[in-house]
Amino acid sequence: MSKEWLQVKDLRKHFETPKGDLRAVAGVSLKVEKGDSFGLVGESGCGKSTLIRTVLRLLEPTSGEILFDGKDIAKLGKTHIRRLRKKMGLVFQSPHSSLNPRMTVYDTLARPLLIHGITKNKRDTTIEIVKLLKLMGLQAEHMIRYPHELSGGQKQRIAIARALAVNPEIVFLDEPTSALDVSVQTKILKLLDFAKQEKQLTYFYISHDINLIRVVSNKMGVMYLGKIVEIGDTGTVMANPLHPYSVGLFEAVPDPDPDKKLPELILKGEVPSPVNAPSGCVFHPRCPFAWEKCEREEPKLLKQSDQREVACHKYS
Amino acid sequence: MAKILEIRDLKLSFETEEGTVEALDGVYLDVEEGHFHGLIGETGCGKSITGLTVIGLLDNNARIERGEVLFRGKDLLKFTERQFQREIRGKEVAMVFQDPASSLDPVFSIKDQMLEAVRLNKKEEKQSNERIVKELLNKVKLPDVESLLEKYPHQLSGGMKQRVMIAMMLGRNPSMLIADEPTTALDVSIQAQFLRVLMDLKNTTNLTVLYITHNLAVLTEICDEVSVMYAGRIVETASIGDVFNNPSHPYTRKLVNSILRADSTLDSLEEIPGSVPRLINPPPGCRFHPRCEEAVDECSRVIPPVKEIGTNHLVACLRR
Ligand SMILES: Nc1ncnc2c1ncn2[C@@H]1O[C@H](COP(=O)(O)OP(=O)(O)O)[C@@H](O)[C@H]1O
Ligand SMILES: Nc1ncnc2c1ncn2[C@@H]1O[C@H](COP(=O)(O)OP(=O)(O)O)[C@@H](O)[C@H]1O
Ligand code: SF4
Ligand SMILES: [Mg+2]
Ligand SMILES: [Mg+2]
Repeated sequence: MSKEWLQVKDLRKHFETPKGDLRAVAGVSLKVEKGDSFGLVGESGCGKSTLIRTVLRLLEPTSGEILFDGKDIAKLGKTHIRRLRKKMGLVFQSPHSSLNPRMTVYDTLARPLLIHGITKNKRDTTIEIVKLLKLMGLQAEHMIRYPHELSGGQKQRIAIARALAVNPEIVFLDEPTSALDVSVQTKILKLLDFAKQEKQLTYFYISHDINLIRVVSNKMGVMYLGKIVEIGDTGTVMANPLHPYSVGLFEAVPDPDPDKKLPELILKGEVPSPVNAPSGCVFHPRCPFAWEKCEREEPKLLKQSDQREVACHKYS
Repeated sequence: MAKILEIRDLKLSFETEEGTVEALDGVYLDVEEGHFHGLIGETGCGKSITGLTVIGLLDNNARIERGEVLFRGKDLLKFTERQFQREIRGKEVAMVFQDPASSLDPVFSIKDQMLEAVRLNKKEEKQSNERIVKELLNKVKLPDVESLLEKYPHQLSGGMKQRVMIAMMLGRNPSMLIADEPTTALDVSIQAQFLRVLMDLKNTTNLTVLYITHNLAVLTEICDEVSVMYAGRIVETASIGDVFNNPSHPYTRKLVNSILRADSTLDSLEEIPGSVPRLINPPPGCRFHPRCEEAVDECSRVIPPVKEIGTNHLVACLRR
């Protein structure tokens, strides 16, 4: 297995908007190895969803390369993209809007199985669906249910089962538990972990919840205004973030320990618009360390150790 | 210490086509004046309804079946809409919601809306009103107040709108603020800024806050006491330290152990089997019993009364 199994190189996705060119993904490079659970964190609007939608070719990349299994999928035509869909699964944040309310669980799960020719007859399809339901901690009798008869957590488990139905190699999980209550979140995370071992999957998690990424990933990236500012082993990055944005972001997470009171605020102001993003280092207007070079020159993502890369002039 | 709000045995339901939603079923909640009191629970457990009862803004299909909602000793359940308008809403109690856009008027500038909020009804005081408005906006740490005043709500970010709401609320000088998930739609860095503003108010005023959220971590940052709500009942009330370090109710224990924190691992996280019940025909007895690992026969028959198990530590569980 090649180490560079999924590799994104200088990927860009710009949107034309009435206000100008919106650089949602502004030159992202990252690697995911087979078996990884990669976690991408960043505040809303920083480009996380756009990045994975572009990698999945649900959006046309503006420029850049997406190497998957040795092929540049950024340039694939329509028929090839369909084949790609079988290898890459996607789970959205809201199970309420991603499941068709008029389809039973059986129909929802049978569709991808039949479209991709994984099962050929009703009997095999049913057997496969029962297996998928079991994998997600549900019973065969859930097959005949409609989404409105299921709880939010159960709906999300069906959405995950649907993504897993075609035996993908990698599954992109876009805020998979954000719309759910805390009491059911653990269940989903544990089921996902179990399915990963069982089916030898690779995961690409997106979340604004830093503690979630801490728990589920072994590699992670921190994104700000369309760019990766820090990337590396989750343990290393979490224990000792280097980029000033990572430091401020992690610090802002409320600490569920009543003895620790509000930390000093490091992140001042708000994220600027990705239309006309700041020059140089996009973080410089909010950075407590910024100096004149930061306004002028864009810092490159540079290797700090075997465990991490950082894009900040302080570390170049 | 004086109690500013005492909710006693409040039972409230909604008539719907599908049946009667038994939304609140014997809620007890005491809030001390000057304290920050957290109200935590999962979606649909009745947090917002509890807040809306206090400001008299319940939907028309709501039916109050029994109980008392005492604000400084007066039963709000006996108030007319006119009394709520004249004595409570915006005067004694202000409420801030998750979506600040819904409470700001899109067609008026921030300045107009702020002036309206602090209006002293006298033209000659216009200048001093403007000064008050600026002070209020500074108090909630909004930058660039001069240019902000000329802006319209749609030109502000969610975090800024939320702080404008707090500033307006302060302009009316209420005794109590009910904050209903004010930071749920905000990013953590903006949430941290917002909590900072509240902490400042806590340190410099005697404002009472009922802070409603489903995020326990947020409460530990600002609250003195916390009440935990489950399916229309308060199951535990204690100091924030006790809720966290010494939770008693089986639900609270699970909840505390299911929050993602800095030292969580997948194994350390607890799951609560099943899901939150619907409130049309909710489980009899203790509403948590179908999901409770400690449940005994009695739990499905008897509604657990509220017991004091320690200083200011109340629990509603038959096994305690
Ligand atoms: N179809 C689109 N057209 C124009 N702008 C878009 C579109 N999709 C996303 N954006 C913008 O791109 C930026 C990144 O959005 P998104 O990828 O959804 O961020 P995230 O998932 O990190 O919250 C945002 O500024 C968003 O408004
Ligand atoms: N007008 C209404 N008609 C019927 N049911 C309602 C109405 N308003 C609220 N409810 C129900 O009351 C319960 C409590 O709602 P709410 O207080 O909004 O919950 P929370 O704020 O804790 O999420 C929910 O089950 C909700 O569906
Ligand atoms: S009363 Fe019974 S069911 Fe309810 S929480 Fe206590 S032990 Fe569990
Ligand atoms: Mg997104
Ligand atoms: Mg609510």
